[in-house]
Amino acid sequence: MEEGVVNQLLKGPLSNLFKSRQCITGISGSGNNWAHGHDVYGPQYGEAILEKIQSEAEKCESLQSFNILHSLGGGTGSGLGSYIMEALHDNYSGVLRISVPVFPSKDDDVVTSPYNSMLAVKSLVDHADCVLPIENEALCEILDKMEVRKLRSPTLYVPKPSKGKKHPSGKGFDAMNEIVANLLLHLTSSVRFDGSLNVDLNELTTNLVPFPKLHFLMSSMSPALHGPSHENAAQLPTVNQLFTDVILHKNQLVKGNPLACTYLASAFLFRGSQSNVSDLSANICHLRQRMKMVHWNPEGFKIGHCFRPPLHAPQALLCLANNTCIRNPFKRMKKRFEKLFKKRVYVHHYAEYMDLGTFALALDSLEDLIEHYGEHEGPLMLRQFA
Amino acid sequence: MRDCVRARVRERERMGVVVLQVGQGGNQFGLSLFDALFSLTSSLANEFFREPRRSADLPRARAVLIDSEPKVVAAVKRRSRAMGYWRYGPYSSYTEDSGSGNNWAKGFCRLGPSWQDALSDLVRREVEMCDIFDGFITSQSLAGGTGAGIGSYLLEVLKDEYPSCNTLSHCIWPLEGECTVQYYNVVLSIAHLCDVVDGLLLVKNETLMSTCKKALGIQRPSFDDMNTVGARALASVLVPAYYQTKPKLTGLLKSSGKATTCKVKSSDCQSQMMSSTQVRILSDLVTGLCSHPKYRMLALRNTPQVPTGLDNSTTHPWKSHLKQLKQMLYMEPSWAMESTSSVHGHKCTSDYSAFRKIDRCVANLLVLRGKGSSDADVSLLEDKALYPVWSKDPLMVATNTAPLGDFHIFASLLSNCSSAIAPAAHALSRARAMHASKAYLYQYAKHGLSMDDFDTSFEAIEAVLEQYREL
Repeated sequence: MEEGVVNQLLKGPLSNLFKSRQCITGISGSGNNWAHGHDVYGPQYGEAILEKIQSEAEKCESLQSFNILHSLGGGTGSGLGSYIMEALHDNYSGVLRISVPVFPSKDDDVVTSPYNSMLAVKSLVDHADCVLPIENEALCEILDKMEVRKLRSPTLYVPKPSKGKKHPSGKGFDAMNEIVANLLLHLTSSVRFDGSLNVDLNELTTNLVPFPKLHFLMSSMSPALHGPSHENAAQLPTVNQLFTDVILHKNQLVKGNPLACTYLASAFLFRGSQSNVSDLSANICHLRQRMKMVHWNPEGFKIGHCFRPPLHAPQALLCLANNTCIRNPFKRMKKRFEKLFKKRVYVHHYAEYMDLGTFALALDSLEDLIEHYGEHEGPLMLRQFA
Repeated sequence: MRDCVRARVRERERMGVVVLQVGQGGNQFGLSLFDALFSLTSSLANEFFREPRRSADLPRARAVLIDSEPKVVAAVKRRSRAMGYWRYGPYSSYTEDSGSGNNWAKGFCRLGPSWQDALSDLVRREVEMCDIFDGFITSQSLAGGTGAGIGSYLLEVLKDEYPSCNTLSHCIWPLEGECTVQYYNVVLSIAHLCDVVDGLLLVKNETLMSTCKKALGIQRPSFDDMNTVGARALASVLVPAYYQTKPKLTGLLKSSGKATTCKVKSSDCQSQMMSSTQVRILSDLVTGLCSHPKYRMLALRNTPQVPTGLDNSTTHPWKSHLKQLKQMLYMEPSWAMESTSSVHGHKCTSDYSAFRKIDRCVANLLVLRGKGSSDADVSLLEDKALYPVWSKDPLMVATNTAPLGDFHIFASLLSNCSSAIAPAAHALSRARAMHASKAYLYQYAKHGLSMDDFDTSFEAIEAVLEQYREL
């Protein structure tokens, strides 16, 4: 709802990919206020937005999904994003709504981010089919580890430092976004290329979402990033290594340790033609020993195999897991919200546009979500293998 | 060639079997199947291929290819063209872009009905190109939404449209962990298919993978490798073979390759032809293997897996193969031990012998190929311990002295037996556990499948298992 970012896009190196008539911008922004985005800009721009969505949708022979990329900390991505999610649910109920939201981190510079994210999560619970949350802290840690590895292997790829705005940690947003872009490319690779076990987006939701509201997935990739590097073949990870790495907490795009919690379901989407179904199946069998699976589906795995590897790597693996450790970012979100809401700080900004009961509803929704995930947390796993 | 023989050969050439390839697994397997059928039969115009319209073109597979997304069918057609010996018909496929989302209910309740007219037309066109239509063979995986869901729906429709034709369903049983909801899809499929097909041949991906590793030495088998093994096994009971009735009319009759030569007077020709009839896999299913409506589950075993040279030093080359086939009936361990971990080399500490038992058979079709096949001693498989007392003439034997491709000697056993009990019971228990927790049920309810529908399917499977347990 302000022009700067979109204008930059339209003038940048990828400008020919975006049509200016498909852009909608405001002037003054949403003031980092979910209610401004949802209750003011939503109704104001809603019709125009739906019109532009329709003109794109009509060009698709078979529309699979809407992918919503937004941050939850501010006002537009979070508030207007929630409004659009609801509108898509009403107008295109048969089309998947996949959200890739950036959860605010603890050092987020937007003071109202605890309110905005809480309110947006309710909308995601009610109207999204599948959510792949991202935490900037996790992305920064991944980039840190890549830089440390580069000290040992100078030929390893790390993203170039960007000139643009930086995260408080000092990492460029460009580099962090590169990881998320990689996630989306990998997610859609089976839709775009051939493979021996194709996995469409609607298959992911069928397999990974056993209950309608529990649709928040942990994602991790190995390798997280691949660019042109000069590692020799001996240094490149084997398929077994990719599987071992992908479930580790350091590779998750949300801070959490899925191995310490319970898996409701998980999908392993492999790209590359050097390995085949027996390698993937053998690795799943090994991983099973280390993963605590929910008692009603100890074989809750989905395998995908796309022949086409990513651009700069011979093979790569994406893991999407519906795991009870997703409660941790929600618990953090709840704690930050309660700290602020206790004193009703900044609440008057929201009261201008919405009923304050909305906060209570959002908090209830989040607490329900945490509780439902908790119901599936199994007992501590007795480890038989080292 | 005498007129009666010429008539039999002509009839064989005009008989047609239409193969329905549904879903990714079904289409990938179908490609391997036609490849095997083509390389193992010498006749261009036969049950599985038809002459192209223009003589310069390649023979066309009698197939209908169906999938809910276009990439796999396009790839399969491309690969058949690249191989250059046969092709799929240019108008023999139906695909859409939606995908079935691994959701059996979406395939069965939504996509199946909405595609029904188009699929019926496509199938009818292929059936009409058979002068004498023998029936359908379907190739489908049970794990997902298309092969399992749309496949099951299509077979119900075809049962109504072609009530007198026979159907064999070749169903691929998934590996552990291929798909989270696979046990729902497997259970729903089998429950529905049992009512509409004549024979349900279940082939486990795990078994094919194990064969590739242990018998063929392929350490890291791909789906192509597994499909090649599975296709050869199925083709070995589909390509021509001939029943030998008792008493054997040796001296008067010599069977060789394709045609049977009569050396008798014309008045006896008819009876001679009757005593050396070709296996008609689809009709024989109903009259022979699956004549009892409650027993429809089939398993396929064969030996050897690797071509061996003609061993002239062995006086009884068939004895060891028949012994191995019989051992296979014993050696299938119960599901509790047979997990993916045993395929991938983890030690299984459970006691094998406590669970070893024979797969009791309702009936068997034994097909022997190679030199001396018509004289082989099959008494090992006539063992009364294999069959229930009520099963009359449970062993059918067919032979063909011609080798099977590179295999000088080949033995296949298509059994109506209890092999499927263990995996089906496992699938049922997993499905029941998910159902009790209501996991994924809303996904199926969205497309019209209720909890009660699941219960009905669970009961149907339980009934099938009970029948086989009583053998």
